[in-house]
Amino acid sequence: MSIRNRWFLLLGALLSAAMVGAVACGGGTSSSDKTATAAAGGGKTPAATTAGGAPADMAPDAQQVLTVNAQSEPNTQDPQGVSYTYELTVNHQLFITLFDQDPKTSELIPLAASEVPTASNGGIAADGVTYTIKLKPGLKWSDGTPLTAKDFAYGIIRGYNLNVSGAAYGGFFTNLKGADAVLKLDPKSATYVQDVQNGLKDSVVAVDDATLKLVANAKSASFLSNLTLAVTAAVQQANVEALGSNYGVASSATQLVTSGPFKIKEWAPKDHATIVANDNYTAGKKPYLKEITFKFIEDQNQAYNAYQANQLDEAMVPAALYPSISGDASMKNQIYQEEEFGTRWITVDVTIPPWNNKDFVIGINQATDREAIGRDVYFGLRKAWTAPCPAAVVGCDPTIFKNLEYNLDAAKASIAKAFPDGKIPDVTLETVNDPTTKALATTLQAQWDKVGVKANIVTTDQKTLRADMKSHKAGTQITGWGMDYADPSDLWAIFTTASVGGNNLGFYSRTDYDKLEADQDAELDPAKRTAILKQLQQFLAADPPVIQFAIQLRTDVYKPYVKGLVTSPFDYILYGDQQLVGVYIAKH
Amino acid sequence: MTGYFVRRILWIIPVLWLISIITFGLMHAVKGGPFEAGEGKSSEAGRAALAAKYHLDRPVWVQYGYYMRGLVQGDLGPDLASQGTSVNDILKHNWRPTVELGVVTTLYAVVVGVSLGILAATRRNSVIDYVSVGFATIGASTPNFVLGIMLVLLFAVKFKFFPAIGWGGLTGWKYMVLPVVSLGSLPAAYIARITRASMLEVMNQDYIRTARAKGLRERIVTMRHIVRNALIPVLTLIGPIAAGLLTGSFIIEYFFSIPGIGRAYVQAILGRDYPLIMATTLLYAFVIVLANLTIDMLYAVVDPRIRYS
Amino acid sequence: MTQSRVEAGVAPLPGVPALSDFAKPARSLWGDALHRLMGNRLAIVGLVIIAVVALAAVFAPLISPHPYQQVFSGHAIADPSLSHPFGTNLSSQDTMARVIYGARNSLGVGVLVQFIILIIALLVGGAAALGGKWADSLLMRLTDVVYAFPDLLFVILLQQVLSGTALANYMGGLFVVFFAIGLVGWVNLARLIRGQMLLLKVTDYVIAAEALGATRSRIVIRHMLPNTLSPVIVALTFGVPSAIFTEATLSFIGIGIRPPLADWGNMIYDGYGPILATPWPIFFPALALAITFLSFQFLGDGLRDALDPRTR
Repeated sequence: MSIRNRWFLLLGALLSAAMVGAVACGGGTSSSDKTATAAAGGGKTPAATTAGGAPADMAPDAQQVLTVNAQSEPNTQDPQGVSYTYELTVNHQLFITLFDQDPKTSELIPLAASEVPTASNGGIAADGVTYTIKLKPGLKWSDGTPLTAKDFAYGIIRGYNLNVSGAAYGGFFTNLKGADAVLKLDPKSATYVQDVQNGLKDSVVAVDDATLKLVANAKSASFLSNLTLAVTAAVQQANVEALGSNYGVASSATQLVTSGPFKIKEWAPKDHATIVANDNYTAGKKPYLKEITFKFIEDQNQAYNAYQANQLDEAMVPAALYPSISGDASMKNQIYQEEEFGTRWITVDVTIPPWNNKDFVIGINQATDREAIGRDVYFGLRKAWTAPCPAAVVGCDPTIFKNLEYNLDAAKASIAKAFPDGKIPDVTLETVNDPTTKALATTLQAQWDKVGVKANIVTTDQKTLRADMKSHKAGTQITGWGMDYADPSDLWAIFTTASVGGNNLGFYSRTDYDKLEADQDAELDPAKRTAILKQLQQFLAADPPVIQFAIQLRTDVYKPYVKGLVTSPFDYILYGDQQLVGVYIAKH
Repeated sequence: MTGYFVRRILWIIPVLWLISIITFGLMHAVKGGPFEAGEGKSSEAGRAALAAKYHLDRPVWVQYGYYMRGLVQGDLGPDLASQGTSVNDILKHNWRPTVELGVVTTLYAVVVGVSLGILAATRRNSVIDYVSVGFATIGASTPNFVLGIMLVLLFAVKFKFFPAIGWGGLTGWKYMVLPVVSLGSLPAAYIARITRASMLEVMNQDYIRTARAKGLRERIVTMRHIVRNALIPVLTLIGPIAAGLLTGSFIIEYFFSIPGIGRAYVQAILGRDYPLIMATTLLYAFVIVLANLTIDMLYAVVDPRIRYS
Repeated sequence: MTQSRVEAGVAPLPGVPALSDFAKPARSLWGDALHRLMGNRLAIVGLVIIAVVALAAVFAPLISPHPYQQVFSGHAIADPSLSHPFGTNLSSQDTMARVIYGARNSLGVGVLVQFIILIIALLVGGAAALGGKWADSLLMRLTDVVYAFPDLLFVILLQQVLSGTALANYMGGLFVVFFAIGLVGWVNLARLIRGQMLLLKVTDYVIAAEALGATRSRIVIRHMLPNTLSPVIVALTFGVPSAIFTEATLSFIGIGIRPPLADWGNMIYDGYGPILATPWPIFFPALALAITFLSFQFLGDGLRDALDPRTR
């Protein structure tokens, strides 16, 4: 008995060593240098394609199939019901909106519309609130029927039906005339749908098959930007009525009539959704890809393993792996990196101590070593950033927020100013139990400890987190904001009093700020608007609502035979998913 | 004894009913609801509307009433996360991989465990003995997802023998290997140990000595007498093990992206998807109770000494 | 009963070994069990390892090279080196320190869960066996309900319900975890105890004791409990690693002790994040867990072999 058992102890040790070796080799780590060199910005240059023609190295049609990881399963593909990035990544291929955003200039470009309405081309009336939008001729649904302005009117109004869009962008498009009143209606009432339609029937009008009229409730520079959102996409009324409450869900996915370059071929719950090219698509260039499969693999490591096992054409790079693969010559042409269009911050509840003291908030900002976070916790995949706005947003000036940069002496001074007696209340960092988030919390805890602030870390799940934040028990929430469209109003509206209970998670409420925000949205002159935005940012730098800390560098790997990927700051969950029409599989 | 079993079958209904009450109560006692400000950008009005739509603004017992009314008609309610798909649909689509994984893993654990146990008891101090026990040791001493990642890195990424993720149903055997081995190694080792102990105990019994003294060949002695009698205690384990595997496979399902209900269950709990939590809890409870009952019945049939009152 | 010639008062015959030379020394149940356990080398190894782990847990502050929560900025997931013999983790903390301190929490979970399980199982199993038919029926149905309830759900829900209360802060959040694990894990032990007591109720010596007029409580305490304890001890020994594993699994879902506290289950989960870049953060806690797990298994095997009267 004893001899045998000694043997299996030895075997055990050998097998363990073998497995450690397998992990070390299989993981592909060659260097032991875990700190990343500065990440090169920007993505790949798009592959050269012959003007108007198919790329010379394109593989035959049967191989034009792309398999990517959407990470989570969409709850629905109803355009008025989608909100998460993993839902939008698919929905963007299925439904077109009136406008799209130019990735380089952030300006609106016409998608279903034939041109962007301006004052000069008559699209915007003299009163400044009436917009006339002409559609491109010959638009069709995937079932061949014509796509008309009526469909857009139907879709836009449907977006205010909170029974459909309540969990998504239902209350978002507030500067449509009548929207405020409609959003206050009782969704349980029997006449709700008619009431919504009546409330908006003068603001959203299909003048004829190819002309749509929209009326705003006031002059607004951001009005048209709302028409890039999925919630304003056209939907086919007959399709909606036929499918009823099953519109957009997995069980009826193949019956969904779409307007975009693709339509749904199959949706296997919890596993994947496959879309195929829509032959009736006329609004823009037809895609090279014949089929795209979105798998729902949540585990990042396993997704990457699947990529290496050739089950996926794309995967997100696990942060810890980035330093080693970015230095690996064989992986270099597979890495695609772009800055996300949004920033990451820690929302603080400004109604509870010590966060209700603005000097304290400034002090914490100054005590946060963002470079160290980006290097140690995110291995170079986050860059330090002190402004709530990404640089590409109109009027964003990060230099205004220089006072919040890492500076231990300034931090100590600010905190001393906030609490002259030195009695600093403890703060709570409530996070989910994800290893990276915990590492972030631990790092912050250590950093803030240097200025005498004690942070208690509590781990829980997402829902409890939100509930605690709402009930003023948490005090902090590690979050951020991804821009929905390029207009600055999308971001600055978060910190207004009106957004409390909505996206204003920290209960930040300042009347002066509200006024500045309203002014900038109403200002149509770009130069004047920039001036107001500068004032607004200065206000926030002196009285910060959040602890700002980073911009994420979205880093994916794509197989070398996937070509034509184009970076866009508005990408949802995959590098290049805003412009999948140009992507193709090369011969390999 | 028939009376005993009839009574136990009848008891299933009140047991499940009690579980439904406890689950419902606990679910609603937990902080946070399904429509809190999630990652999406909903508004307060929107969330209130949705909560009202699903009766979440009513008192708990009223909601329970709504739920039970639907349940007795076979309607398990709407899935709150996907707002449109019904729970019936979700279970219908996703029960199969979980059951397949559970059954195949149970088979694997039993076959491998019993074989190793018999080998360990009969062929002491041989190479087979060391290797088999060594394997049992490794499989049994790491959490199953740690074993899973080792196997994936070695056999899926480096050698590309098997896929890293996915499930192919009963015909897709390649997809089965890694998840089943990861999930089943701990139960296999446990079964091996019980089998070995049981074999040793039986081997020392008088009737075995009698059989040998009768002059029967060792092989027949082993198979007919020892193994059959030794397996009786093992039999009682299969029920709980199978039930445990069916209801505890969520980590492996998550890890290998197997579209089963285990993973959906965890997501439902974390996302406060009440109808799905209720349905899956009741389903799991039913499976556990049924498995227990079946094994007790089997045990009574196999071992004539057992008498239930 | 055979007697030695000495005991019988007869003089020993020269050259003939006395019968007493062949008799086994008289030992009590426990003494005999201990003797047999000492002869089982593997069980001793297990016991020694457990003792080492327990000592490490108790004397952690003395033997740990660094405080477990100290952040070494700039050294995230570093390979083992002289300054960090086990390397560092994703939060730039020293893995060796965390493994040593983790012994406290992991072992603590494992052992304390068994206390809760034992108390509940004794109460329920004992009451069921001794309380008459109705009590038995009711309690067994209660056990069915608890048994059928998916453990995971119960632990998560209980943990969440309690997390708002003061209990959540005991032992850095661990108290609610093992309270919950204990609350779902007592069923098998209760059934075991009940089964044993039912058997013992009808043994000769208990019936004899009753006939002789011993009170109920005396019978239970002096006769039934000691004989029940053998399989119970074995079950508890196997239960410790099982509880540790359950806790490791729960960390995966997000339930567990609060940072910066360390326990092996938590460390394994944290080490999984960067697993593709480096195996060390997961390797050391997994190794510690495996060794402890196996030690409890060997000890449990040894105890069972030692205490089982049938293998004498």
